[in-house]
Amino acid sequence: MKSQNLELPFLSSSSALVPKAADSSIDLSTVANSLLPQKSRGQLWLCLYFPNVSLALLESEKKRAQVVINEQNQGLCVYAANDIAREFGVTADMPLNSAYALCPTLTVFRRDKKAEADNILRIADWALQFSSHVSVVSVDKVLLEVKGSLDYFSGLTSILKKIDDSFSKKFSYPYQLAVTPTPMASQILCELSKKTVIERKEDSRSLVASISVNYLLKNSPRLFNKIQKTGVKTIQDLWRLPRDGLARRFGHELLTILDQLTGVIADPRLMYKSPLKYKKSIELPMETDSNKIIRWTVDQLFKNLEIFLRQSDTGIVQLNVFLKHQSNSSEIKLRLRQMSRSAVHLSTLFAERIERTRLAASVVEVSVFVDEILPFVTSSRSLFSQLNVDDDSSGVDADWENTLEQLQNRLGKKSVRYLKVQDEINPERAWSYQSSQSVIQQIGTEKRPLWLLPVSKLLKQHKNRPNYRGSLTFLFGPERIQTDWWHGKDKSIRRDYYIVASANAGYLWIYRELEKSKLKQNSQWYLHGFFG
Amino acid sequence: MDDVLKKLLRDNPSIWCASASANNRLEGLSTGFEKLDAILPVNGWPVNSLVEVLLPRWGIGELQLLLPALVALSQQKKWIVWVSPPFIPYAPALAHAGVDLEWLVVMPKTYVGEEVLWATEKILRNRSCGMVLSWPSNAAKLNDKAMRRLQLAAEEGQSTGFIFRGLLDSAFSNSTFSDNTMPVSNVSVSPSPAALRFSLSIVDFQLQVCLLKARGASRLGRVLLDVGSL
Repeated sequence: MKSQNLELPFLSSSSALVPKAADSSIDLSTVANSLLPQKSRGQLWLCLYFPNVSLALLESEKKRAQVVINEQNQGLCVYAANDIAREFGVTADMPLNSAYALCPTLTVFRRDKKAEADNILRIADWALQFSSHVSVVSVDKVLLEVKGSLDYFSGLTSILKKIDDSFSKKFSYPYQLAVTPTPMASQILCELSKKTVIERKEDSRSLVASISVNYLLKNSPRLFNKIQKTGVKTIQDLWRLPRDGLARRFGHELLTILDQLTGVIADPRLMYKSPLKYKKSIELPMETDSNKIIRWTVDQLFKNLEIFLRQSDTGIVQLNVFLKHQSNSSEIKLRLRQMSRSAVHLSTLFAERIERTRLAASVVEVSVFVDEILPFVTSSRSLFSQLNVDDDSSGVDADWENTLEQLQNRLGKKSVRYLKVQDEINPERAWSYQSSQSVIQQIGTEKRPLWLLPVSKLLKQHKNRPNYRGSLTFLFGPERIQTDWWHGKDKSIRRDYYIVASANAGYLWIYRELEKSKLKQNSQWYLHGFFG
Repeated sequence: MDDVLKKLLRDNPSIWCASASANNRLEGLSTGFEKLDAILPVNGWPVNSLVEVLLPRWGIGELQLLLPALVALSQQKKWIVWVSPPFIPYAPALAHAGVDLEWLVVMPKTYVGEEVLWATEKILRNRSCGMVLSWPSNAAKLNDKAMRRLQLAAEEGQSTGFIFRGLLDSAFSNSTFSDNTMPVSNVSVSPSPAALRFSLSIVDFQLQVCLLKARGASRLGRVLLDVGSL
């Protein structure tokens, strides 16, 4: 009894595949392929199509007959016509004069390719939340690979519903979609009906079969003309013809397209990557001097920037804020110590900076420009750098970096410095500032003062002995420091350093310049540091 | 008699009992000098507050005084920030003394300018900070309100802030140092919200520390420290 319920996959799939009209020449390769058991891993391509998007982008009255025109080799032709225009009989690819003849009250708009391109890129950015593999096909079509996202969105119906909700919230024009296992099939089917969902390859074959070859070969008009002349009308007709014959007559390109349509061979699509720059401006409703309003507007831009960065999984290390005045504009550069995409953080930094800057004139427009957008990396410390002893160390450290960043933002990058010991005999050069933490252990020199004077001070002498706020008692010395002789006699350093005590000023580090010439002159005494 | 006293203390919280304060002492950061630790109320530098240091001139020994604390804090991996120091903190000497330079941050005078108090407050407020050494430029701005803000910042960030101020000194008025002018004001008698305040001077080639105010101390002592041991 069990055998009756047994369904042989071989038989069931083949029965669905046999074309309605039995024909002698069935393309054996495609049939054989479909008899193979269905792989559990596959792809599902969702194509979104926006009919007449060029019209939808126009910001004008929709009540009148409108066309968008395009320059073609014959002159001006209609690219797209809205419903009202179509009632008059205006169609695409009609010369403009004919369109005017049919509908004298036509409103004509030139096609704005840039706006369409920007729009489709915005849609691609929006689509990234549903799939990691988004591909832009043309200005009115976008492909998404959704098989990978099905688990996350718990099923195809769920993801379609989410797409629908999100799209209608964000964009105001209609769309059509098709889901099939191959991108080519989705591209074709989405133009033909509002919603097509096919999950199995065999079903897509049967649906695609009766479609005109025109849709398949939209991108290759010459090939289409050739094929049209042979009398082939539908895709099914093409399937019926022998492959080698097709290859010989129309080229391998056609075979590739057919195979990609049915999924026999792969059809890799270029992944859409977000553009690497960000620029957005907001025009202030009224010219203003008020820091508060400017800060609020910039905060909105920062929030938008954060969303953009999060969507594309990127971050920034610097950005420019332009404040446009009536006749010129001023720029505020914000440099971050670590990669960030937090709007709150940027707002704090900007607030600190704007408090310190005096505005040249009242501001008319505010814009944020980022020209370097990098893949986001959470801040990681180097292997040997020490984290704080406290728990929650990563949080505390980020806090410290924030503080340093705010200090540098307000006072300048050089206001925060670290100290470093240099391996030099010359005491002035035995140290330096540096802009990053040193990780190597620093080795000091003994008998050195804790304070160094930036410029050594000439001491008064009393009876040939140096004097500083009273007499000095010599405690230690001399330490002969002789160096830089290679720079020439003038720059050479020959000094005897002494440690002295002063009754009023503590312990001092002084030196005597040794005679540079044979002439015995009274050598000068200088104060170079305090041991205090 | 004891019962009466106890009842009195219990019912009147405004009566301060000297011995009671001795029991809830926070441990301070040891100064490194036993004699000084002994006279300080928390046996060391107070951890969450402001310390005012008054000196007749820079360089008489204030850094030597703080050196053990600097060494200890840098080895505990706490940040030490110098805000607008009058001279250059000499790296070779600090390194030789045992200070881990990795945790030192210097904000040079030329860049900080007038914003010493703002920067000091900001750093004090941060919990990663161990100590801030600050040389405010304008004595006039360092009023009671400003000091109170710094004190609050130190409490919030659990760090110690050392504010160095100049003491009115007759010898100083003859100074020829034009670029390191010290704020001249008779501050030793003005009130201060800092938890600890002391003045430094040189007596017999030794550093004399005179406590002018110490929160929680019963008496204000003074010590002579030999900081010149090289």
